[in-house]
Order: sequence, then structure tokens, then C-alpha cells
Amino acid sequence: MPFVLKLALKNLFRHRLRTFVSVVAIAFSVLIVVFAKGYVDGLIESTVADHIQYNSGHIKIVDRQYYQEERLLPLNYPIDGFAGEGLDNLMARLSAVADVEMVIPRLKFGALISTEEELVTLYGWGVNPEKELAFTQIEKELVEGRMVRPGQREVVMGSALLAKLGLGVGDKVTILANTAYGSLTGVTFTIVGRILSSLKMLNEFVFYLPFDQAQRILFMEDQATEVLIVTKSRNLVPQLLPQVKQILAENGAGERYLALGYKETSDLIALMDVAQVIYNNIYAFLVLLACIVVINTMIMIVAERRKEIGMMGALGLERKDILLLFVIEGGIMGVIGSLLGAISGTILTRYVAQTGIDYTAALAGFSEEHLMSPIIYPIYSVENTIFAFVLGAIVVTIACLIPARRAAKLDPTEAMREG
Amino acid sequence: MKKFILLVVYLVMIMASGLPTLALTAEEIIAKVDENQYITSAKAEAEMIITNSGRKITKTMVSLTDGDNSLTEFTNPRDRGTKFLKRGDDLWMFFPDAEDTVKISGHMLSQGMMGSDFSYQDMMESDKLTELYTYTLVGEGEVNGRACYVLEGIAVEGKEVSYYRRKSWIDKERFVGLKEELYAESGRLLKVLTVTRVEEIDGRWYPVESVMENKLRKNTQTEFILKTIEFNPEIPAGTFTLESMR
Repeated sequence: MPFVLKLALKNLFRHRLRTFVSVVAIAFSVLIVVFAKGYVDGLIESTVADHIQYNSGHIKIVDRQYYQEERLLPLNYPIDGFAGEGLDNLMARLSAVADVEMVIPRLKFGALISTEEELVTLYGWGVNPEKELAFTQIEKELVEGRMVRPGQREVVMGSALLAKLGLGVGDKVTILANTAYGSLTGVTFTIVGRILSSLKMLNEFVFYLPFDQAQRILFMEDQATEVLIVTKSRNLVPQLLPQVKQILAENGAGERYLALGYKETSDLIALMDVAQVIYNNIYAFLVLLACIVVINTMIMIVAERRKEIGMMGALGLERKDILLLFVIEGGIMGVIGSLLGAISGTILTRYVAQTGIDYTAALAGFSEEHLMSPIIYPIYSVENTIFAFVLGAIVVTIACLIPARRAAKLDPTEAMREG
Repeated sequence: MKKFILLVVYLVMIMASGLPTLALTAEEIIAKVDENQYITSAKAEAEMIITNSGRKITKTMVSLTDGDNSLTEFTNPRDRGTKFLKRGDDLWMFFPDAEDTVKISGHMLSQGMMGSDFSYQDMMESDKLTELYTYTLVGEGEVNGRACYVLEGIAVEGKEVSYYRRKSWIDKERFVGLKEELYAESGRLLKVLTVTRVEEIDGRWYPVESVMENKLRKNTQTEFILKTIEFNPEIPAGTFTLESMR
């Protein structure tokens, strides 16, 4: 065995360029795997995080009918507690569930601003500012001014929306909305903060206002359009969802309200789960492509060394040793290439994780309804590095069996006679 | 015999000359309706009952009009203080919670006014329908036991109207519209207005109760009830200005 290993190492240095090219091919494919995995993870993570923060929470409670017509943001199917008693008891009951960190009510509605040139349609989000700051990224995205305060006629708007309206922080704006009773109403607000978000929804269409103000102007006292439950970790959702449903059912609201896990409210996330499985297959395929280079090199080597192999056989080297010799040769290239690829891939991923890849221009036509950030920050993780390294090393070594078996099958006398 | 022939000729001539007065043209019918319903100035109190999927919402309002302009103020608790000012073809709104007036324009004009089946445009429509539509008399009919002319108006090319085609039932005797069907250019029925009560006010017949159904929405209708109407009231100068709304 040490003899075979020594021989394999020696052989690797016989044609350095050839070995180098093979190692580079493996390294490059492993680099791509590390980076692509980090990239896809980053894409999924940011999409899931945005969806959870601005749409669904970990578990979302809505009226069954509201869920059907959610796109229209109807106000006549609110959450108004158990048997219309108001939000407080419902929120208290849900907060009491173990591992629930926050229960967040929101009141979302359609609104309009009439400017000289046009009518601008937008979405009003009535929120509890303290809870939103704790739960979402909004504090980071608030680039000017501050968040709204309860009880005040104040709004916070996205940068693109403000630019469209020609307004800024400190200005006043009159917003129109249909109340829960179908009447048009108009209220003048002071703009107290500006958001700069990569989400089109937040940047161009949404304005935040205090929850109590939204309730007052829409005639929806003690009501919300949705109630979000935030747990310690999103992985707890499958475990907590039955408990939440149980609470709704016990209080006679099981028929009226729906409790939905965050995956149920997004088509995009379900799609990405499928995509992730597909990508994992593509990674193996990528490494296989690099293997073709290695296999090709090895087949060349075997052809070149026929005489030598015959000689070694004649001198008593067993077939399995010859097989081992070539597998080790390939395996070493696989390990070195994978190691280089994994390291360089990790460095690249960590670098791009800082800068991000900006698809703003490409996604400009994307509907604001898809809460998907156009800037993707790959996620660096040790698991991905190890995964790519192991994948590279194993697949290359296994691939080397093909040329190695050819070498081992050679008949010594015939091999020596040739060439 | 000669005398008899002369008499026949004479009678035929009379009948012939009398014929146009018997059969009115579409334009003449619409002109008579305009004449009957046209208001120089009035002050009215009205009620709007909106029924939407079983839920009833009542809104009350007071309106002042001088023909071209009108000012409407809502008086029911939830909408108290909300005002509409129509000046010519423009519409402004004022809300108690807003610091400035809001001009209503574009696609908003075709939306339901205060959640009703009437659109802002329905409310603003100029009285001179003959300028916007070419009417033809298409037949006769009956609405609530009253004999009617049935007219059809097609939008005049180049004019911007909310409804491409309208079919109207006009009371033959009182020259009051009793029913109207409003169609899109595709032929789709959009709205149906039915007058349920007509009253004689100051010598002219006037629709005081009507029901509008928006055929694009399910299970909704809006009843419009004219509570009181006073013709030629005293309207203070400056009533129809933006300043007066605040």
C-alpha cells in the first residue's frame, strides 16, 4: 500500500501541466458549487425573511373570506376577536402559547393620493410601531426621520413613493381611503420618516401609519385585517400551528378564522423548496462535468502507460493494486482540486455576501406583490464548504474507477507486446 | 258630391298636418324630459340606502344646485362634514380630517360614490343628454303600469361618456324617465336605474325615489330617496367656491 501511494504521487508529477489542468477543472467546479449554494441559500433566506416580516409572520390569522379576496384588501372581513368581542382577548390568548414571542396586529387597506397630474394608488399599513421595529428590518431601512407614533396623524413612506409625489419628510399629505362602510374619506398626515428599501412594495407603494389612526379613519375600532404570530424560530411553526388552531376552535372561531403557516401563504417559498432539490442535483452534475476532464486525462495516462502497467503486472503487482494506483492518483487530484475549489469558493462567497448582487434593473417589471428583494446576498456557511469539498472528492474518486478498471483489466503480456 | 270630395281632401289635409304632433320624434321626447326635469336652482335633502350583501347603510345629504354647479354635504354621523363641490365638469371633495380639498379625477370618477351603486360620474352628468347621445325611438313599453316611449341613445363619436349605450323608458304623459339601462360598448349591461315613485312638485312631475343596481357587483343596490326639494331657493353668493367648503 505505501508503495502504491508513493507510486501514485510520483506519477502525478510526471505530467505536471496535465495534472494541473485536471486539478483546476475540479477546483473550478467545486468553487461554483460553493458559491451557487451560498447564492441560492441567500436568495431563499431573504425571500423567506421578507415574506415573514412583511406578509405572514410565522403564523398568520385572517378571516376565511378575507383570505379569498386578500388582493383587494377588503375591510368587511376583519379580525375582531372571538365572537366580535375585540382584539385584546384573542391576542392575549395567543401570546400565552409557549414559544410565542409576539402577536402583531396589522390593518392593511388600499388608499389614494390625488396629485395635480395623477391619482397615485398605494397601500396603507396600520401598525403598532414598537412591534414592527422589533420584528422587521424597518428600523434599518428608515433612512430619514423616525417611525410613526401611536395617536399621531403621521405616516412613513418609501423613497420612491415620496419622489413620485414630490414630497419629503416634514411635508403634509392628504390620503384618501374607502372606509369599512364604503364611504370615501380623506385625512391629512405629516410625513415623519422615509424608508429606503430594496423591496418594491415598501419603497413605492406602502405608507405606515399608527394602528389606532387606521382603525379610527376606517371605522374599524378594535379590529385588524390580520394578526401575526411570531415564534422563537420559524422551525417551530409545524409544532405551534395545531395549538393555535386549537385555540381558535375552542373559542368558536375555527370556522371563521384561518391560521396559516408562513409557507402556506407564499407560492414563491413552495417553489423555492422544489428549486432547492433541483439545484442539489445540478451541483452533482456540475462536478460530473469536471470529472470528464479528469477521466479523459486518466484514460490518456492509461493508454500511455500500457507497457508500464504490463510490466508492473508481470513483476507481480496484483490487479487490485493497479486499480488502487489509478484511483489514488485520481483521488489525490480530486481532493486537492476540491480543497482549492472549496477554499476559493468560500472566499468568493464571503466577499459577495458583503457587496450583494443587484438585479434591480432586471426585476424592475416585477409586481410589487412579490416580496422579493432584487439585491441578493449569498450566505456563507461551513456546511456548504464541506458539502462541496466532499461532493468533489467523492465524485472525482468514483469517476476514476472507470479508467482505473481499464488499466487493471489489461493483460500483462499483451500490454507489454504493444507499442 | 264635389262638396263631399272637398271635405274629404280637407279632412285628410288636417289629419296629415296633425300627424307630427301625434308622433313625437326621439329628440322632441328628450327635450320635453329635459324641460320637465331641468332645474335652474334647488335645495334638496336626500337619503341614500346602500344594500350590499344584506348589509344596509344609510347616508343622508343636503344639496344645493344652480344648474351648472352643486354643493352636497353629508349629514349622517359617519360621513358628517364630507362635502362634494361640482363646478362645471370638475369635482372636488372636502373631508373634515383633511386640510385641503381633493380633486376627484380620472378613473376615480367611474367608481361608486361613497360606496353606492351610483358613480361620481352618474352624479355629475350634465343634463343635456342630447349633446352626448344620438337618440332614436325604438318602441313603446310599460313600466309600473305607465305607458312609455322606449328610446335608445348611442354615444356621439368623440364624446367621452361612461356608458356607450343607454335605453330609456319615458312616461308618455308626464315626460319623466321611469327606467334606464346602461350598457358598455361591448354590449354588456352595466347598470339599471328604476324610478319607483314620481311626484308632482310645483306643477311638474319629478322622480323622488329610484333604485340603481350595478350589474358588475353582486347583490348590491342603492335606493335614492328625495326627501324634500325646494325650487329657486336663495343661494348665498360664493356658495360654489372651494373656500366655502372648508
